[in-house]
Amino acid sequence: MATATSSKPSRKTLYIAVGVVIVIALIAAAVLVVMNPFQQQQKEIVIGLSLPLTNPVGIHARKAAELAVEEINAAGGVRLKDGVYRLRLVAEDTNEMDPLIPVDQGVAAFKRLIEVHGAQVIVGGVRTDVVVAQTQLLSQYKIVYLDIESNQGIVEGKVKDDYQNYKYYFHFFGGGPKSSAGPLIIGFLQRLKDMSAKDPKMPDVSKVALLAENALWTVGLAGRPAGNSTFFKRLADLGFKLVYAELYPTTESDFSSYLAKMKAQCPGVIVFLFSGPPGIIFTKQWQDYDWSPCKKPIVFGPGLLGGFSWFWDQTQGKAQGTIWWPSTVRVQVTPKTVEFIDKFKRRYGETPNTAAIDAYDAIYVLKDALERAGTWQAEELVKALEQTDYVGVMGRIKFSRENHGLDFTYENIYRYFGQWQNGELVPVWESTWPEIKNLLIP
Amino acid sequence: MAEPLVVFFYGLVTSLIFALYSVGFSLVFGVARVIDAAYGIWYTTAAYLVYALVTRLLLPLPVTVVVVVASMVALGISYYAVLVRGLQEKVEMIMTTFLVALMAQYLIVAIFTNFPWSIPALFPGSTQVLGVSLFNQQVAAAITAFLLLLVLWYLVYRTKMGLAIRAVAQDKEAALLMGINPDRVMAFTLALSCSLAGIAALLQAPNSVISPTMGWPMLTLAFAVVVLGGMGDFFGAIIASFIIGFSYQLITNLVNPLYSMAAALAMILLVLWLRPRGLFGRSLE
Repeated sequence: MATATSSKPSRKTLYIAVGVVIVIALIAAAVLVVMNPFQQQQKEIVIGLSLPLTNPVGIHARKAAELAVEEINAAGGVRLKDGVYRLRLVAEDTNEMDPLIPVDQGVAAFKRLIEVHGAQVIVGGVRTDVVVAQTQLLSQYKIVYLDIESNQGIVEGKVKDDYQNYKYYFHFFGGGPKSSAGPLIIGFLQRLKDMSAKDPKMPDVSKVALLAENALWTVGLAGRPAGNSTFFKRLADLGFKLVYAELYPTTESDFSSYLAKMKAQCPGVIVFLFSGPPGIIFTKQWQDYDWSPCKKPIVFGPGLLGGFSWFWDQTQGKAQGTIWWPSTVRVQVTPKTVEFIDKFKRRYGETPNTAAIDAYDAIYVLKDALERAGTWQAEELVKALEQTDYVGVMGRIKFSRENHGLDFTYENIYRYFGQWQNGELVPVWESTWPEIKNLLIP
Repeated sequence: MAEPLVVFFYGLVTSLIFALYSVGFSLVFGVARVIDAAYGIWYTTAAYLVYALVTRLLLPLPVTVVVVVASMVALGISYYAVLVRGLQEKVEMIMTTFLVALMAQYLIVAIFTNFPWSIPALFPGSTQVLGVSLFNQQVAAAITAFLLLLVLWYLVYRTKMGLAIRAVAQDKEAALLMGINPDRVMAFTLALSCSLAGIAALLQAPNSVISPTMGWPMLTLAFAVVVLGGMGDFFGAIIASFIIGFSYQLITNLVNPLYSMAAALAMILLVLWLRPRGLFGRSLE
């Protein structure tokens, strides 16, 4: 019969077991030293892309970010105080271009980038309400956020009013205090009105119709109710008459009624603020609409999608004659502009949209700031980003402690207005030109 | 002066399309006793099918019509056989059909992405009628919808199959005793309903943008029409489509387009409160 004492392991067995454990530990340590995974991890900076990944805006931004990261890594990576780091991209789909998707999805994607993927910097942002919600978490995570495409200066304003909580935010698109589209658009409309006064073939551009999607980004320019904004008061001072103003729901699928009401007022120009799919329907219907006895009004759209290369295809060429801001016109704004547009087109077969240009520049601005800061830690990185004075694809990007956004007094692709002419976005005006050139009257 | 005419013409066009789309949903409820929360996704699926056939495979219109209708009929029959038959008059029905819709939507995103695709109008341009510009595509869609509704009326009220549909809608057991196969009738109704969603997509897709979520507003609309007209009521659904279509245009043109869908939904709440069985309170008979 076995006793309790005899079932205990012998001292020899214990020594062997301990020895085996020590040998395994030593082998594991040796393997870890050889493979050095920790060192690898330390030598990487993870950039989180917060984008609508199945929408043209996000698709182009991601492709451009990948291009920039590939180039930077191929050129030796990013040199920080403690060595050379490679950049690595991780991405989460915010689905934010779908107006039916609430902001929560964008916030969840933002959290996943940091908590699950270990992102150390965030690049992204398209829909203003999503960006506003995400940036409320910046001070909690202490992470830098490079906003590439939201169209309002709301968070730039918060940087000024609540610096400690919002200093991590930098904006690579218009809409800020020094990058407002308003003065540019007024300048363009003024030139268009001057032109129409001289040319009897043109419609009377002094009669303006406003049609804007009911989204947060249109509040500043369109006003609430529609037409009640500083922008339209300024236009009235310049002799323009607002003959029609309306907001449409972001799910609108038929503009017949809007067009009928506009036609009753015979406007010469339709200021069309859109960033979603209904813009395609509107453009097709505007082109097909029987405007007689009025002259067909010119469509001018400060919005996101009109200047995208696929917009021409999706409207089956009905975008002919429409004018858009922003536009990725093929103009040598800086020595890098045409080179990038051509490079992107060669690689992906499409003209890059503005989100691509912004994302590409944002990654290079980040690389520049990381090297100056010598670390990816947010507190130091913010200080370095505030010293940015970089000539990129879009133009000159200069940040300071007071200004975390673009400044349109410097050369920038956002100062250009493009018109669709036979499948090409032709530059028809830049904010320093005395008059409009090459305009096609629709 | 032009406003009443604008409301009249646009209201007529909108209502006919609404009716064509909603009658299928109403039939399924009346006959199979199924609230098909996936009905919107069949509309979306057909729209993507049209897009793929027209712009990717470059098929001519008649072939596209045949392929889309045949595919939707096949889809309707399979949908009934695999899922709906086991779910009739069960609580899980709405949740299951809703999940089917979500899964189908994710599949569409995986195949076509979230790009807002668009297809060219079959009848481009517009025509002035009494000073109102009407898009040729919309006029063609409205006329087709009107003719199809007539065919549908004939089918439901003047044919043997229609008699069987109405019999099953009234009393499934009694219909069975009369020698009608309710399973076959229900499968036919699902096929009919899916093909109606498909035809509505064929008519509407050139007027709109094709996106994975385009079916949800249509589902809301179908719910609204069915609740207002009475669950499973053929004529009720048509009249409700006209009430909602004209209200929609009235509010869009005379009040504010932002409130048009909300007003239609408020009207449903009111009807549900005052007359829970709908305005007409009867079913297919």
